[in-house]
Amino acid sequence: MKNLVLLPEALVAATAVILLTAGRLGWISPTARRSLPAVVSLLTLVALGIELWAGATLGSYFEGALVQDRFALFAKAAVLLAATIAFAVVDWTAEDSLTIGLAMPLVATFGVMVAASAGDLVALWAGLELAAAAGVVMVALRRPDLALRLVVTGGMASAMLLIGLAFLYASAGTSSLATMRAVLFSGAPTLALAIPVFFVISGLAVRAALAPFQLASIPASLGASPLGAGLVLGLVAAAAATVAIKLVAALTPIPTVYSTYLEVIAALAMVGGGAAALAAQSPRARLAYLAAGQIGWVAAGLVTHYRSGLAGSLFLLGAFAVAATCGPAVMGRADGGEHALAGMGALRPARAAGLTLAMLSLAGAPPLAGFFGEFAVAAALAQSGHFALLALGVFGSALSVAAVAGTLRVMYIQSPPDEARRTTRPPVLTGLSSFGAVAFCVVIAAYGILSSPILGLADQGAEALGLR
Amino acid sequence: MFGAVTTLLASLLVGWGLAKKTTPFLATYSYVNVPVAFTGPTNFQGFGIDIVLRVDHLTVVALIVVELCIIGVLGWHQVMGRSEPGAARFNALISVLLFGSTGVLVSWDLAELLAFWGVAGAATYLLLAHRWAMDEAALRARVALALPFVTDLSLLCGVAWLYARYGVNNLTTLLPILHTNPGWTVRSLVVASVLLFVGVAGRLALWPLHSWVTRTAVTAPPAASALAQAVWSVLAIVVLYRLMPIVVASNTQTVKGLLYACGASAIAAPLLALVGNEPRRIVTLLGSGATAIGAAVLIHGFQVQGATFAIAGVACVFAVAPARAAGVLAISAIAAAMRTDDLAEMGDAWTRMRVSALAVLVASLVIGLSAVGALAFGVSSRSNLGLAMGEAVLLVAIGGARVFLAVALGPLRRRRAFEPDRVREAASASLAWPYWLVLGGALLLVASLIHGWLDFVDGNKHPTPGAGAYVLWFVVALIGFAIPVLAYLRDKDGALLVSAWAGVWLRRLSYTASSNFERFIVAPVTEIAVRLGERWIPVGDGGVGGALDTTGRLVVAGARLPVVPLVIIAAVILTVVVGLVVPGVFR
Amino acid sequence: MIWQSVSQAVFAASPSPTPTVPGAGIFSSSLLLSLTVWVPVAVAIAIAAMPNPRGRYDTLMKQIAFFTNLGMMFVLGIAYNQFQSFLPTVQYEEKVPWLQAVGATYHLGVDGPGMTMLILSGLIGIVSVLASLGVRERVRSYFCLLLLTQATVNGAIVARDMFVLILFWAAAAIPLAMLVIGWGGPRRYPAAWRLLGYWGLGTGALVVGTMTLYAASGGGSFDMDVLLKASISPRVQLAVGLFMLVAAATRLPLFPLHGWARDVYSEAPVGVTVIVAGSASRLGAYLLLRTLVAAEPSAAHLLSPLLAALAAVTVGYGALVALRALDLRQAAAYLALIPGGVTALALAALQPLSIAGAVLSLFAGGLAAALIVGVCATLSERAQSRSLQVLAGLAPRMPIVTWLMVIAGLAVLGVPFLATFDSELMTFFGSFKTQPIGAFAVAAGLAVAAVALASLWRRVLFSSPNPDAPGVSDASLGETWYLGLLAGGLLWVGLFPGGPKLPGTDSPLFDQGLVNVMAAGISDIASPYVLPTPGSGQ
Repeated sequence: MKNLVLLPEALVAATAVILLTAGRLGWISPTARRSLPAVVSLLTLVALGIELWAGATLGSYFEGALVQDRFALFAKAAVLLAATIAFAVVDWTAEDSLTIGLAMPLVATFGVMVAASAGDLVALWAGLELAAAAGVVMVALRRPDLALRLVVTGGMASAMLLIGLAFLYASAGTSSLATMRAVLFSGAPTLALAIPVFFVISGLAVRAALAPFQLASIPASLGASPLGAGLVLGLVAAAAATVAIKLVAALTPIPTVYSTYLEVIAALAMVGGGAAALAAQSPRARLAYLAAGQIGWVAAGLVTHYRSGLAGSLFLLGAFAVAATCGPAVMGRADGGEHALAGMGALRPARAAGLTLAMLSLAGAPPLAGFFGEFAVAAALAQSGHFALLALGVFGSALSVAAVAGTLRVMYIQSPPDEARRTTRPPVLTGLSSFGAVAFCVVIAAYGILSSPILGLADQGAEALGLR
Repeated sequence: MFGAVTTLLASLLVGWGLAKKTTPFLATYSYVNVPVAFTGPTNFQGFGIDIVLRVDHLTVVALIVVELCIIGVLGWHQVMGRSEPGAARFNALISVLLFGSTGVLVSWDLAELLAFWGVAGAATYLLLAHRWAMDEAALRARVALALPFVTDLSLLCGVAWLYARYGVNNLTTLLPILHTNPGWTVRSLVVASVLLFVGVAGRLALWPLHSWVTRTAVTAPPAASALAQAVWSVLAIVVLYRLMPIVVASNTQTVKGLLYACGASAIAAPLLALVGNEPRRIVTLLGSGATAIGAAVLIHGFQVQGATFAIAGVACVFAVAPARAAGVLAISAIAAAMRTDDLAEMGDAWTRMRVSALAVLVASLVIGLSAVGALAFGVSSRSNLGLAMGEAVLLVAIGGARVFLAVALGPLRRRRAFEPDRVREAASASLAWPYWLVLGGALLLVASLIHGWLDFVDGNKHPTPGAGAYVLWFVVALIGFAIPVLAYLRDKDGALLVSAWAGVWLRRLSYTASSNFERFIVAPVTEIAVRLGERWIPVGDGGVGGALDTTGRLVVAGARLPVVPLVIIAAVILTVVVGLVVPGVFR
Repeated sequence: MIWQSVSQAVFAASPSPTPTVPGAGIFSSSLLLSLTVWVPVAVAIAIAAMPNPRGRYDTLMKQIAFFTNLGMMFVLGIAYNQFQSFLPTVQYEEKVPWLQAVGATYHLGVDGPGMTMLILSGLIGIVSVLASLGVRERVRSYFCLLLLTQATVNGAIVARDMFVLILFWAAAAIPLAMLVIGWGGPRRYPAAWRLLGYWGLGTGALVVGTMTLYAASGGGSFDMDVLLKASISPRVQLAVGLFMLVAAATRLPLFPLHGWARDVYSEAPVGVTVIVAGSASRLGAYLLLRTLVAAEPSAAHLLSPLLAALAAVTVGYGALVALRALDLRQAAAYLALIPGGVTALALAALQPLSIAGAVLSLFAGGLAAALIVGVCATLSERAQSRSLQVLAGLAPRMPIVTWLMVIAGLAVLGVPFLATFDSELMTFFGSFKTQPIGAFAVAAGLAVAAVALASLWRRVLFSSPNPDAPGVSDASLGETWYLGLLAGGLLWVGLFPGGPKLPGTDSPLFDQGLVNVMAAGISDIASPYVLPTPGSGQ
């Protein structure tokens, strides 16, 4: 049973490798190509099932490099669910390559899974970089220029991360997160310790598209295919957030070295994301900035450096991962700006409903997944006395909700343009995509209804990180 | 009409039943009873409105007067108001007015009183605004809603003010505790008294609160105008009589102040009647003046310790009410026949419309003489009040005679689209009704001279005034009637010219005053409010929205800037700044 | 696991108290309040999922929406009839653990004020659907959003947990904004953005205030029974009170946070205007009652002069602008601010009687505001213009609308035998003890409102007709019904506030009386404000 815990990772990684190889060598027949998304989606669903069934078994692997705990279970389940739905719902006619389009999200998912169960700094970094690399590949398929930009900024982020992690290792004398935490209990917050931590956070912020470091990821996501955008905005950001949560948990003995920095970044992200979503013209950009705003809430939860705050962040991260990864996939092509979605409510009701819920959830509108997550974080902020940050977050969410109204107007109120004047084709209607859209709606809506056990699991996850 | 007659019969029946009784009929039904607190003074632990019906002789007489007025006016309206649109609406509103009036007269609970008062007020406004699709009528009807509503609010505030301190609405409970309740202060009683008086004075149409009846006198249906004047004067004087114990309980200065107010009103209203040539406005103002005399006598009666003549003031108003209704109806018939509302253009009614002209004469006489009894009973001619009241009686009589003389005598000149020879008496079926009304008024006038009538109405014994007192006030009125006779016999046109000239100047004056008020008070205030609502607040929140939009655009535009240096700069700046400010890190 | 806890909680939920009034035992369910919240949501989802090729089933959707509301009103009527008057405790209570980690529960229940609001919401629900029968475009989306709005309003009313309250409070803005954007008048976009902006600000204030309270009370629970009964310092109370005041002022609305009202009331479709003015906006005062008056007496005492001032300015300002308005619907929008101002005065007075008046004013003011904006919207639709320079002398040609407009105006002024009179009576009777200046100022504002209404009626109804105006027609049957229901509600409660009784008896015939239902719980809310001796306020 203990080794079964790693089966999901193995399944995901193996599927990705097979897909890449088979795609490169042309082993996949046209008939198989048609059913490939359903098969991969089913595989990730199986992986999710195994994770939920076997993941409850706690254990440590590769001499502590990987740790299976409740946190890992929660994070892995969240990304697997996100990937499953994304594969099902995406409009493959809008993607650049089927096999790479299927493989890269799997690689990113694998990266998040590695980061989620990482026991030391190396695994954390590796997982994050794996997810980020997958994102670069997806962007490169359509916009090499943006991919290059992403590579450069990503490299810089990696550099900052590596410098920071190296300094942390040097300061703590260990790369193991658990040991580092124990060591830091006797340490004091010094500038020598703070500056590397700031570098780490900056690096993670670049990956997670947290303002003011969203400059690389969001433009890249706008140029990528729908699934690529979902990967960059959702899975890579989820990977960065996962790393951040684990690092913050290790650094909780000396919160002053990171909490103020995170506070600033979270505030900028929540308000800036909301304001930018309000000003953004294209729906893809609006979705991206909504995601940036919500990841700011995740960061805000870390500011509290309490178990409840980290649990809230993790709880919100689950909602974020699903909505941000699947949102662009549900939207499909949106190159023609808002008009691309005109009348989508009538043309593709299931997708329109999915996109509505995705955007509203990312904006934090009730009674959807994002609202429950943000509320949990808000409660933690209140408990820890961060009322200013709470107020800014609520303000940002209000802006985000107002921004979503603009897109809803286009989808439901505006009439669809004539075929002749249509610049963008609506997403292809397939049974799988409709099923995926409905499943996505159910997940986003049910997250709130089932929030009690989910938040309970997130709380256990935070506890597993050593927080009391 | 059927409802009014039935109510009249019922009132007569009740009156007959109560005739021999000295104790009033009292019935109480719980209407609303809400517990609002578990602790505190018991009278504030719950809120209740009881329907307290109290019928005494005064109530019965007032009811009969109101019903007689309504019957007389309705009878006239059924003939002369045939051309009025919305007959069903008109009659329905009359029924509502009758219902409200009856409620006001029998109410002994102040909240209940307010309810019926408000219903009667709403019905009155709708009656005065009855003529739809007429600009002038609609324009003038505005004041018939606004002004009385303000005074009704004053009454509401007065009652509320009292309740806030005493926690009771029932007059039987309230009056004995005015000075014993823990919450009372003289100031609170003074405030309440003034508020209550203003509320009643508005409906009594005392000067300067009279414009809701004078401005609608010409544009409203004559029946509506007559009823508004007659019915409300009766209701308001009875309510004032019942509320006076509260006023008296405040302090002597307040009572004196209210008395002066009534005295000033009693002189000002008939004085205004001498200015201007609209006959219906004149009759309305004369009625207002006579009513003010009655109100003054009433207040004086409560002011003088141990006196019982306050009821004489009420009896005076009872006599005025039908007479002013009759006057309005008769003048309306003449004005309709002569197609003018200017006394200068009227005339010769004595030969062409003798019956109506005679009705005007009798009505004027009754209005002019209505105060004789009240003054004889209660006011010494040597006192300052006596002088003021004498002047008021004189002016009322002058005004009354003036109207009759201007209408009845002199030539009726030809005008454009008006042929004097076509002027005929009003429809015969309508002629009797003003007479019935004025006859009622005359009977009440005669009754007001007899102490037995006052004894019956309020159940107290009243000393009979000396014959000299009657003669004195009678002579004052007669002199009043004589003065215009002399003036008109000498030069009718000259006399009317003077009033017309004065009326024009008064109109100009009031127009200037109102336009200045509009220009310097109303317009700036409303302009500020409008700018606030239409410009400043929208501009303000629009500005906030714009600022947010700009912020968002800046964030979005950031995506087009060179990323790498920006990210490095941001990271370094944030690192250094935060590193320096975080407590415990730098040091 | 979750289903177990749900089923346990459902069984554990307190059943309806044994009724003693006529209609007893007809219906008893521990999920009664959930029905009022979730049935509209379920029907909205069902309508959204229904196939409707080329609008073939538009009429059916209207019927579904109408009968859903009718059924809910029936259930509410029974709940109202079974409601235990004079019982201070919360009734029809439901409690299910939800976000246990942060102490949020799915806790519903109503006391007297809640039941009063629920009846108002049910009535307004029916009225709004009747007022929307004329909708022709995107019928499915319209009625989905309308039902969702009703659900959010009901949810906010019955919430006994601040988390649930925030959830429904915040959720109301989106469907309403979509309704305004999709079916509104020419200036619908600014109207919708203002609605989102102001209501967003209010929601933010509510969240921050709630969180402050949550932190101050130990951060264990969002349940109102815990949160609003926690003993916290006056300073924190004041902070919470200020946040709640901002939240309420954006919703009721009160000057100067009323910026959305003019545009929304004048641009939204009739049915939406009615629901916003009638029930959604009343939630502002309801929030103040729940979270300030009933929970923070110290803050309430400190803030009552401010609240009274806001009430007075709102009433006077609304009346003054209505006096100069050139647009009928905008004039109605400003007049619709007035009942809210009266409610605010009643809350500011902090007297048992005025608090009772505030609760009754929630109901009466809601109906009056809905009637004035509804009738003016209907009139401007029927007369094909909303300009007061065009509309003139319509009374002879629109007698039904004329009478309803007159009743609406009289209701705003609080004329007897309309429910607003009873509420104003209780408000003023209670207010003159502690807020005499505010009460006088509000009375002065009402006087200005009378002038404004007189001018409005003069111009629109009673003057001579405008020959250049477009043709007009009187209210249709549906419009007469919806406006008549509002007027009927005002008349019924105005005539029988304590329920219809046989003379001399105290037992109600079939309606136990809104004031009796309303009174349940008021004594508890008012107990901190009982003055030791009468008149000590002076």
